[in-house]
Amino acid sequence: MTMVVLAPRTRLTGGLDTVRVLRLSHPEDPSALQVAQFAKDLIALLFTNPDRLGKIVAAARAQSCSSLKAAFGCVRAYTPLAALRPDIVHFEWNSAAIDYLPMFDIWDCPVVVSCRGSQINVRPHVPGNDKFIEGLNSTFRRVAAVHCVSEKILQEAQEYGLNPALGKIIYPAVDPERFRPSDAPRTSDDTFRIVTTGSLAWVKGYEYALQAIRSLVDNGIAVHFDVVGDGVEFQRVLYTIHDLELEKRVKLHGRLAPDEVIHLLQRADAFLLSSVSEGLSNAVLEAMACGLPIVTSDCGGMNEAVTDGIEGFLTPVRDPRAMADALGKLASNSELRRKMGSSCRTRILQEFSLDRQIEQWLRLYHAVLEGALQKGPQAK
Amino acid sequence: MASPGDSQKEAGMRLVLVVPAFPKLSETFIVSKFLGLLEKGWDVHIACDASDPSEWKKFSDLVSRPGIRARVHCGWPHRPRWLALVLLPVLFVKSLLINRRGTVRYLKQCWSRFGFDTLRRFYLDANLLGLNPNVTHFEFGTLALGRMHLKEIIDSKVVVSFRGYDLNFAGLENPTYYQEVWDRADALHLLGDDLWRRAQRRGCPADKVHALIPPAIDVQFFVSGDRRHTETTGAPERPLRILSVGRLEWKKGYEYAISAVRILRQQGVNFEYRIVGDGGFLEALAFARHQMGVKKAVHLLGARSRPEVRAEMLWADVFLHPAVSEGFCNAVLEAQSMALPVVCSDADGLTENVVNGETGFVVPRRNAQAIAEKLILLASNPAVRQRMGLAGRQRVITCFQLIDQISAFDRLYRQVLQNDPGKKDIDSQDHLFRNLTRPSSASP
Repeated sequence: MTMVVLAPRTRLTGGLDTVRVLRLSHPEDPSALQVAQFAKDLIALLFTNPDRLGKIVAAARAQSCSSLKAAFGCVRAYTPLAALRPDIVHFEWNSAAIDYLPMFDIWDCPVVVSCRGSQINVRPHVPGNDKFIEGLNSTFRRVAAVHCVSEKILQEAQEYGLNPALGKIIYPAVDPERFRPSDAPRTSDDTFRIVTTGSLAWVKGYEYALQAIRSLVDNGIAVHFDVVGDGVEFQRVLYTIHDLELEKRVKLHGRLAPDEVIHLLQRADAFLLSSVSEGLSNAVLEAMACGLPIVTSDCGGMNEAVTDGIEGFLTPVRDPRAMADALGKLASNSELRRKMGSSCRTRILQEFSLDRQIEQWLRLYHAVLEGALQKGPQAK
Repeated sequence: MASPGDSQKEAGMRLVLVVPAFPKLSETFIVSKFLGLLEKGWDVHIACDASDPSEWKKFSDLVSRPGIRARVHCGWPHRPRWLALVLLPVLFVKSLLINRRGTVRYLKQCWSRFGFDTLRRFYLDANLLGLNPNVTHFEFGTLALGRMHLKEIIDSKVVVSFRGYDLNFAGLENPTYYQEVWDRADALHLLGDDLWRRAQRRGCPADKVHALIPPAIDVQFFVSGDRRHTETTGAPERPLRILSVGRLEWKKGYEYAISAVRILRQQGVNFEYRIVGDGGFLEALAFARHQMGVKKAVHLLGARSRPEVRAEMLWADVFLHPAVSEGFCNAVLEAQSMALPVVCSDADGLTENVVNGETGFVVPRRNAQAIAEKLILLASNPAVRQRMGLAGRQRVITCFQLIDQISAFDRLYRQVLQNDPGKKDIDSQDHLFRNLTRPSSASP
C-alpha cells in the first residue's frame, strides 16, 4: 500500500513541494527494530501531541474492539503517521483509505483516494465482504475527491456511495519517449508475434488467451506468443500450455526488466489482453505507445483506450473464438497492423501521455486544496 | 508407539500408510482403506505429519472403534527448525528405547550412505523406524521422494500411489524427478490407465510392476433410495437443479460451468446451480457469476459434511464436473452412486470414470457451449436422466465399491510380500479394470 503525503509547506504555489511516499504495512509480528521504532514514535507523540495519541487509541479501540492484539496493531500503524501534518493526503488504494479512516480526523486535511480496478470491480462481489463495502461507503462520504482511472470505474464506484461530483477521471499514463516504436526497420518474418504482459492471476484470463492461440495454430497461422509476467497462476498457465500442446509456440518469460519489455514490444506484431476485469490496463497503454495494434477484451475501461476498428479490436470477455478471429485479421494484413499501430501511437500522445497526466494531477490537488470540488461540476 | 519387535515383523502383516495428514475430510478414501484392511487382518498403522483434532470428529466410524488412535502416529514437527534440533536427541532416545536394534542399524547404514544428512533423515523417518513395517505405502507420489532408502534400511517393501497432482504438476521441469521411485519401488499403484500412461511419459518403464486400482466409495452411504427422475425441468416453477461438489480451485473448471449456465439463461432454461466446496478460487467464481448475470441462480455453499453432500445430491437433477485437470474424482463416483446423471469434461481420468452416453455425458474441456447443450438435453428429458442415473448406480456397484478396492489392495500387498519377479503386472485388478470400459449388467 502506498500513501502519498504532500509535505507540510504552507502555501502551494505553482508546482507542489516534495512529496513523501509512504509504504503502509504493519506486519503481524514486528521485528525488534520495528518495535523500538514504534516505542520511539509513541513517546515522541506523547510529548508533542498527546491529544492526537488519545484520538488514535480511541479509534483503534473502535476499529478492533474484539481483540487487544488487533487494537494494538492499529495503534502501531497509526502512530508514525500521527506526527505528520500534511496539506493533502492521497491514498492510492481504497483499502488503505478504509484502514486509515480514523486518521482523517486527526490530520484534518483533505483526503483523495484512487479507484483503480479490482477493489471496486471484484472485491465487493466476493461473499463476506460487507465490511469492505461499508468501508467504501464511509470513505467516499469523507474524502474531498475520488480519482478514477476510467469512466467505467467511476460509474461502478457509484454503486458504493460515490458522489459523481467528487469523481475525477485521470487516465493512467505512459512515457512516450521511453515506450516508442522501434527505429530499426522490421525484419520480415512469417511468424506472427503476439505479446502480453501482466501478472499471472485469474483476472487476466490467460486460459482464454491460450485457447485463442491454439485456434490460430489450428488455422495454420505461424504464431508465437510471448507471455511476460509472474504470479500465483504460473502453474495454471504452464499446465494449460502443455495441455493445449503449445510448448513450441508460447514462451513464458517471467518477470522482465522494463527495457527488456520494451524490446519485446518493439519486435511484436500485436498485443493481446484477455482480462476478465480491468480498471484500465497500463500494459495495453505501453503497447500502444510502441505502435502495436491491440486485441483486448471489452472489460472495465478498455473501450476508453481502444476503439474497435481504430486502435485494434474489442472482443467480449471469456471469448477465445472472438479473440482468435480478431488476431487472425491482424495476422493476414500487415497494412492493417501498421495503420492501427499508428493510431495507437497517436492516441497515446494525445490522451495518455505522462505530461498530460501530471497537469491533471496538479489541477486536481489545487482544486482540492481550494475546496473547489465541493462546489464545481465533475471536470475531466 | 506400538512396540514392533522383530517377531511381529516376522508375522509379516505390518502395513504403514504414509499420508501428510490424517484424517482429512477430503481424503475419506484413506480412512476407508485403513479400516477395511484392518478388518482383513492387516496390522495397519498410519504415519502422518499432522493430525487435526477437529477432523477426527467428522469420522464417527473412526472415533467409535477402540484402539484406533494408537494406530495413528504423528511425526514430530520439523518447523521451526530450531525446535526440531532441540527435539532430535529426545527422539533419538525414544527410538532407541522402542527399537534398539533397528535404530542402531538405521544410523549405521544411513551414516555410511548419507553422512550428516542422516540426522535430518532420522528425524523424518523416526516414525517409520519405530513401526518397522513389512510394507510401507506412500499414498502420494511426492511423499516417496527422498524416502526410498527405507526399503533396504528398515527392510520394508515399498508401494507408491499416484493420483493426479503428482504426475500432472509436481516436478514437471525435471525429467528425472521420480527416477528413484521408478527404480526402487516394489510396486506402483495408479488410479487408472490415463495416469499409468502419464507415468510412462514421465519416465516410468513400461514393465514396471503396477496395479490399477480405481478409487472406491461407500455405496451404502451414497444411496438415493427410491428417488426417481420424473419431472421435466427448466420452467420457472421447476428449474433444473445442477450440483457441483469439489474444491474451489482453477482445476475444477467452474468458470466454464458458470459460462455454460449463462447460456441456459439466454435460452430461457431456468436453473438453480449449487456449488459445494471451499477454496481460494472463491473470488474468481463470485466475480464470474456477477459478470455473467447469474448471481441469483448460482449458489456458493462453502464446505459441507458428507451427510449434507448426500442431501444436496438428493436435491439435484444433474451433477456437473467440468474439470480442466482431474486424476479420477471421488465426487463424480458419489454422484453416480446416488443415481445422478453426470455431465463432465474429458480431463484425465474422468473418461474412465463416467461412460459417455450411458452414465452421463463427457464433453470437451474448456467448452461452455458443449456443457450447456447437454444440460439442456437433460433438463427436458427425465427419462434419460432416470436411465443414466440407474446405469451410474450399477456401474459404481460393479466397479467402484470399497469392498472390492480393499480386496484389491489386500492382493497387491500379499503379492508384493511374496516378491514374485515373474509377475510383471499384478493381476489383482485386470479383470476389474476391464469392466470400467464396459459396465456390466449385474443388478445392484
